Amino acid sequence: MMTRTMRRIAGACLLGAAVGGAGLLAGCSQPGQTASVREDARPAFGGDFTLTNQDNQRFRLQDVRGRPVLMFFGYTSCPDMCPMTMSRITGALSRAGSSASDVVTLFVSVDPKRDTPAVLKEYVRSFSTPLVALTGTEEEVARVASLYHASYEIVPTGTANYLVNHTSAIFLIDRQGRLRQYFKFDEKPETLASALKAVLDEKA
Amino acid sequence: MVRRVSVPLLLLLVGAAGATACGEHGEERGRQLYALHGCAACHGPDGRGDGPSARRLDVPPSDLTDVRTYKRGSSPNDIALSIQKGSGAMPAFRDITDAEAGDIAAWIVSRQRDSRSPGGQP
Repeated sequence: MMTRTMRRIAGACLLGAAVGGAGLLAGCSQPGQTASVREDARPAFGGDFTLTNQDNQRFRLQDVRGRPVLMFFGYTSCPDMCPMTMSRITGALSRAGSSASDVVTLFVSVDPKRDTPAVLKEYVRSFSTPLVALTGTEEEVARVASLYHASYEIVPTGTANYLVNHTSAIFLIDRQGRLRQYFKFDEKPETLASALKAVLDEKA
Repeated sequence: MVRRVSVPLLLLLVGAAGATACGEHGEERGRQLYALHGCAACHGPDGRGDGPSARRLDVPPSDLTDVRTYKRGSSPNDIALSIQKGSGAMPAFRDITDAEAGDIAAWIVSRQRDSRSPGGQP
């Protein structure tokens, strides 16, 4: 019997397959499929964006220029991928050494209808690992997802709630604001930490 | 304002993960790890199943202070296993080490004790 997590992963894969022509990430890449952290082999997508943070302030990616960024897409009532991803990022930061204090972790909500700044603020308080949670209009969020080849889709559950299938990749953005690498959702924290250290070692 | 990670805290916790959970020290490390890994998002800051994500989940998270809501069992080993392997609707947190899971379990068990103490919830 498939667990809820397995169904979600399968759903993410199917979603990716359905829109695969656009090159969207589905969070179900094969082992070893991640792009290289080498500067000359970075993915040819990504870019600056502006959204609204949990304090209802506008947040521009360029505001944190000079600091490495780990970013993922999700939603606050995600029952599986997002909690696991935050736990994984926490593990990577703890392994990346003292300079990991420079890393900014961004959570971009793909459920802007429900994830208001107030909801995000309460969610962020649940983590002692510093986290910037972002939301925006549906158009703004769709634009950011498109920039990073991310996908998402609302899945009704037959109740008052709904799920959102979404790209579960973790994006590593360097000090210059360039996407350097992305990781599948179940990448080991050691691998994430290793890539993070390489980017942290680069000059601002 | 973008906060910076408290690396000394993270390193302390990772170092602590190498130690065996014991008594109040294990509980305190467990409390910190519970917060660090965001368990509170679903289970709430005090483990009562009232985290911000809980209200929109079709399967409500367990109230960790009430052993009657546990799916896998309420002993420290059962709880550590639930954390690392998943339980019911809760996913498996495979990156949490045995020592970390043991410490978090120790803190959760202390919440069970608290709930059974006079004045606590039954």
